[in-house]
Amino acid sequence: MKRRDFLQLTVSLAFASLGGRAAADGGAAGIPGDNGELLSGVVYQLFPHERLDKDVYEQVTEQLSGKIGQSAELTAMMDDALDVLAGNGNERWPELTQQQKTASLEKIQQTPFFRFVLNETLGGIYQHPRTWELLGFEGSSLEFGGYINRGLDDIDWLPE
Amino acid sequence: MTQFSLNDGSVVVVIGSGAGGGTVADVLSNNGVGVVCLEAGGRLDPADIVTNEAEMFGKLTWLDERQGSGIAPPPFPVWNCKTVGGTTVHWTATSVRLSEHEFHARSYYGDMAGTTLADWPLKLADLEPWYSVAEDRLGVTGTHGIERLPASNNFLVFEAGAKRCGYKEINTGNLAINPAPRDGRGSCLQLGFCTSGCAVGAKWSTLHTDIPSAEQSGHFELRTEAMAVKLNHDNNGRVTGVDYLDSDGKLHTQATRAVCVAGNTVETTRLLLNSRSGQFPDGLANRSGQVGRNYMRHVMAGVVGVMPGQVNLYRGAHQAGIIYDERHHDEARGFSGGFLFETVNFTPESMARFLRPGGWGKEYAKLLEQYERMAAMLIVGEDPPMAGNSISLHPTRKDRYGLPVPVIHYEHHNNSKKMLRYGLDRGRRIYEALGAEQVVEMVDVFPATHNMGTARMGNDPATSVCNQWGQTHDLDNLFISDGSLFPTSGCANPTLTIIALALRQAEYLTELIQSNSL
Repeated sequence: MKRRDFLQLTVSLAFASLGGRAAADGGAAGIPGDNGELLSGVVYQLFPHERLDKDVYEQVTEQLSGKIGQSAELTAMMDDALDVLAGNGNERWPELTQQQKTASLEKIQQTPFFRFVLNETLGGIYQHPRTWELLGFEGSSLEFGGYINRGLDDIDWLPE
Repeated sequence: MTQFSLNDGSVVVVIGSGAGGGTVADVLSNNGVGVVCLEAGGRLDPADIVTNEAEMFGKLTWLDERQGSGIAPPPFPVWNCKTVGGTTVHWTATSVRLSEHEFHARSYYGDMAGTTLADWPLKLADLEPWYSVAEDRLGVTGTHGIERLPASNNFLVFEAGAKRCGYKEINTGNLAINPAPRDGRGSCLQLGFCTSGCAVGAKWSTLHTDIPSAEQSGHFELRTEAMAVKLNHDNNGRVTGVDYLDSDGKLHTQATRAVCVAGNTVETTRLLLNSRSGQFPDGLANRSGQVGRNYMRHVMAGVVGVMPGQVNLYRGAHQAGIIYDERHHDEARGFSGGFLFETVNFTPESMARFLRPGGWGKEYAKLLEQYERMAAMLIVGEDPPMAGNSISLHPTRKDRYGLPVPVIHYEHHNNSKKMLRYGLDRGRRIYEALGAEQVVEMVDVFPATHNMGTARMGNDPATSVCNQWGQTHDLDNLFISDGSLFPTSGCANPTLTIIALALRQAEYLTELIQSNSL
């Protein structure tokens, strides 16, 4: 599959491609060494929720690593992208300031690899029940008889 | 179950089992006409429909490659379904009639430069009886004595803000969702997963109603995972058979007396264009050159307000909230045609995808943390037809069926841009009237869900593809039965009108067949 085809497919599978659920299946081979650390840092920086359990980010990173590890195409793209990030200064990623991290990511945000990671990370984080808890989304209510008698119209702040 | 042989040329072949196809198939078969329905997707059992957006997206969506250009999102320009029931499994069930002026856009709006604006070949009065039958079949709230759905928090915010802005006609809408059990379907539990298929079957879909009803007629055969690839014709201007691929990729040809194509605009167009022949070098039924042109998808945008208190917009039916006040035509607003405001739900994932597409970083994460205080609405407005807005075939790329990939090109007309600006400003005011801390506009971010216009009806064969019955001008026994027929889009969600047209067409076709004139 050509790179462009692959990206089109992954983007069009936006909603379906990844799930918090699937994260529990465990990833294939992770990304070793510095690249693994970098990737994990990138995942957090994309959607940094301070109050979200770090396990969620780890699960998303693990699943992402698995997907990248299974594709020579993606691995090559990752190496290119992470080279740009790593070559940004003499300090290692964890030691960069918040501002420096953002500035580094902005340099690669137009790359197909970044878009792939963004898409996958978004799905992984916002499909995750722990994120739902943080944001106040209660998800399925079918098992409780729906929202019809569970807060459908419980709003209490509207002016008269 | 009824089965027809491939060489049984007495059957009507209906392509697609959604709003148009499911309706036509149900009426024809219950009128005693044999129908073979070819559906590209598989059939879900009730237990397959679960309240999980990501899982259902994978089960329902048409995921074969399509390309978008202009403002149509490049990798995913259209969001429709490939499953028995078609996009009626995914729809939000808003069922509003078109207004009188919307049948006569050319006469009301005048000569709008850069458009191919046309009047419909029929008027509201012609369609009213069929709208009424459709509303009864679907169980549309606010019609036929059916009560409206209860108010959700998202609606109450929408209504309170709208009233402060002086709007008057505001209610929970005309929806094909049962507030109470009716017609073998249960009542809405306000699950909040309308676009993922209704797990309790309260929302009307041909999957739950028309297809089972057709099956009980004894004159209907549904073939699933049957992808129509070509329509064959003879030298007398008649379609003679439909080539389709089964789930194993094996090609079959079903003989036919007449064909109704209802593939939800993109697939309808692609099938016609792929069926070109020596007699029809530009595509079947395309002597006018209009097949694939005049593509419309509505002026569509979102407004999200971060409100002072909790809203929890995910609770309840997505579109149970409509403001009707801006649907009229009034040039004083600076544009022609009108629009509706409709409430809408987003899960955290869809909010993250659409609030600021491509967004990331600390500020975006902080904004998303306001999720439970967000209220949301859509603007759904009339977009004029333009010749250059089109569905065409990619010159080289093929999908997994070996068919040319459809390319969807869409640009805004200036009229749409003005409507959009006006609508977004009014939408913003609705939330600001209640003290919204922040209002975010979602512009040109959604894949199209309302697809119209690429085989339009008209009286003149030189400028239209079908007559007022959806019968193509070029081939007497070829009918189009979906939104492709619309000469103009109006501002109402298209499904109810598709169904009203399909009901009318099915009775017309039955008459032709029973009187042996076809």
